[in-house]
Amino acid sequence: MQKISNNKFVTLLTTFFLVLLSAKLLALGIDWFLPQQGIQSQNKNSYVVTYRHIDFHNMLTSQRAQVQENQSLSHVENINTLVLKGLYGNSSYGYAIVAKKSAPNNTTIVGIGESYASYKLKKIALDYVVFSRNNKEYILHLGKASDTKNKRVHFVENTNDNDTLSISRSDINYYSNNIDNLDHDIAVDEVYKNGKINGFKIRAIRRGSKIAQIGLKQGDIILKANNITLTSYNDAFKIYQNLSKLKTIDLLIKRGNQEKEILYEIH
Amino acid sequence: MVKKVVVKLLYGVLFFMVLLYFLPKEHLYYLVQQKLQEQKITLTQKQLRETPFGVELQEVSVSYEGVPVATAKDVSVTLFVFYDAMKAEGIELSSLASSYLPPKLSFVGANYSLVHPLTIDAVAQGAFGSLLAVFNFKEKKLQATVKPSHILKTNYGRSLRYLQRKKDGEYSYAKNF
Repeated sequence: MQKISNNKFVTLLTTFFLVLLSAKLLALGIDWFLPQQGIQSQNKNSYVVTYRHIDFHNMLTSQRAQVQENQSLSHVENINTLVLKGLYGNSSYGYAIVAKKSAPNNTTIVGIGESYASYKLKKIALDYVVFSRNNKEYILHLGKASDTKNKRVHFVENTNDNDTLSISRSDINYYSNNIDNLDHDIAVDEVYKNGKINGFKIRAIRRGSKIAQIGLKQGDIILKANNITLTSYNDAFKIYQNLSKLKTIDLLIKRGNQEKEILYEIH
Repeated sequence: MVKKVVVKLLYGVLFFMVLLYFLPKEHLYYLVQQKLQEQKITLTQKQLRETPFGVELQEVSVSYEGVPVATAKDVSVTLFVFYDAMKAEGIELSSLASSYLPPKLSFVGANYSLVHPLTIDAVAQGAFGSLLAVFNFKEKKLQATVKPSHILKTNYGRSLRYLQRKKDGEYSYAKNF
């Protein structure tokens, strides 16, 4: 009787299958050590402001404002993004015709108690109206919102410890659509602390530029943006990349020896 | 004797090819993803398909430290160990990168061959012109030559400042890692 292993074809076939089997086993062994799942695209950082400092100064100020509600309007701020086109009524009844500065012909009639661009109409006077938002009052004079010269002074001269300011979406888009515009209008240097970047110092701001109007000053050190500590250029770029999607920009800056938080609301 | 050596060699090649065929290319790609992630480069895709000797990816996005850098419509990777190749088509740079370069790239390719075991060669073509690059593992050095297009010269002249102009009108770039 002939041995099966003496058949050359069978030997070849057996060897071939042994090669296949050993290759498959080795592949399975390698697979054992390989990751079984890929990386999903995810953004770890949140660019939306989810955390706000509890500011006792603001709390006290707002309480005082409620008490003195009808006594004075000296504490209210101007709204720079809206235009008051017309008004009718008194302190408790009436309506105002308002429009956004970016689209002055697109007017909206707002009644007392109604909201427009997240501002709630609170009171109507002879030549101005009072809106409220976040326990703060904002005054809008008839036709005066277009006075950009006054507006700039308002921003620069604002000396509150923590400010809420408004920026128009068109101004944001001006920078978010072309980084060259940002390069042209502002120059920053990195600030090092213990050998690591700890914010960016504004070396220069071009006078008259859009960014010069939002209250930042030469020498300010931007420490955080939307609660993200700026420890690299990439941190700053991440914010820049998401500018067009943001509704608010929260900056923590160091001016002199004082830290100051500025919240920009984009309309 | 020679016959035995040749037969063993053939079995070796067969084993190697079968091993490559059986290897889970999808999981190898995940390993590459993880290694890149360690370098803060994130590579993600919408679709992944295994081929006998590689993977094909669609709608690929690349980001560095979470900042989107580029997207590619189709990427194919072929693994033969002695010859590996990567081809990417329909590449679009992110808005951030497009401030420095024309955003559309038609083709990017890279290959590694055992004939030149210490280098990876890469080519790229797009609205910016064309690029030939060589990365040397031993010297850890990247050398690139750029033939700039008219668009790159006229609209993105600032980017050319990072490159050295050569006499023939081309630009070169070198970096040690």
